[in-house]
Amino acid sequence: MIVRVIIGILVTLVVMVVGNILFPVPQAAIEVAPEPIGLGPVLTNALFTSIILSLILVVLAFLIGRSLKERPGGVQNIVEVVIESLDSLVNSIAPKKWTPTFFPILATIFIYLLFANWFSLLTPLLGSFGIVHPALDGGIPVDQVTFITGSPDSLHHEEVMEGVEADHEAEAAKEQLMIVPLFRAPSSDLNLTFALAITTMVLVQVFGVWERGLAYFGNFIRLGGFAKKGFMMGLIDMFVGLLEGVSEFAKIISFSFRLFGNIFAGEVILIVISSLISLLVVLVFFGLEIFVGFIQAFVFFILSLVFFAMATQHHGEEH
Amino acid sequence: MDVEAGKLLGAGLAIGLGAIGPGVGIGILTMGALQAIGRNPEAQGQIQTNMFIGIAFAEAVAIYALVVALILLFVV
Repeated sequence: MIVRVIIGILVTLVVMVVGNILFPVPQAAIEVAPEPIGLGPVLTNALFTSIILSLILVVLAFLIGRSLKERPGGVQNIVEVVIESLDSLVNSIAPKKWTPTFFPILATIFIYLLFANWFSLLTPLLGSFGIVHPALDGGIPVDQVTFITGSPDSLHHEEVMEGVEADHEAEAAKEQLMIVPLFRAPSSDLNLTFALAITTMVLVQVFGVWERGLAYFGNFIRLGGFAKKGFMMGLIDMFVGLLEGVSEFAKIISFSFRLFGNIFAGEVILIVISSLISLLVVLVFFGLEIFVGFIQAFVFFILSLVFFAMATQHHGEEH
Repeated sequence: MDVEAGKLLGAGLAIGLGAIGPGVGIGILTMGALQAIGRNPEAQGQIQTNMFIGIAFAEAVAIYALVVALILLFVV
């Protein structure tokens, strides 16, 4: 048994070393903005990936939901454990009355983000599949890439046909050919995290108004203090209210940049390390990224849960 | 010093200095949570949840530094 494991490790090491020598890894491009994959300016690689991911999750949820059994086994067990632990967490923080409303939203956010974050683990692999574009300012230069299916020459066919004089230009155009990755982790794109953050914070306001009516805005516009506590304390109270209002907007920024920053930085670490030493060292960082991806999904989940719960709690009514 | 160098320097300093405070803060938070768990292991779940919330708020400060660094690098 142990002999087999050792042989396996040795074979893997040899394959890695030989592969590293035969196919050297190009320094991958690190792009903050997602790049369009050539079907219009809107369809970026991150959006493309997030659509695919959503489809996979919807189909999986449908299949699992249709084949529920009295005695759970296999996949159903895992799903039940996840759902039950999320449910008990929501129950322990949110008011009883609101848990049926909160749970679906929060569980969706958590499960979607978990897989969106873990998708960044695949970037070193999937990021190497791409579409060749003639002139975009992102991507990896073509001449660094080992395999190209199809002929990149066909993209600037005309220049080549024009003769010797255009040859130099064609050479220049060939250098500008870039490969844009087809896949990119959805949450390493600021657009997705920002959209999620805005949705969550708008929902917080909606739930607050739904539960407490217009009294909810008394959180932000506090004028009652002037009559009850005197002028100075009233002034302080008013500024506290204003700060609460500002912090609602700051929450959007910190929500979106926390997720984006963590996942994007993780991706950059993976890319840089795997182009430095593509041996066992990378595995350590993969382990770290699995952890970070889970923690960030969980933090987003638990923070939105706490904000939802805070908005629907009656406090400060006695003022 | 040209503008590009100034940007790079500024971005590095922004995130580097901005990460000091949150780093210390997260350390203190985790210390407190671990001590609490050590004294009262039954309350582990609740302590952990609150610890994550606290860490997220401490981390938000580092994120503002990150935003400033990214703006310096890519926008300005």
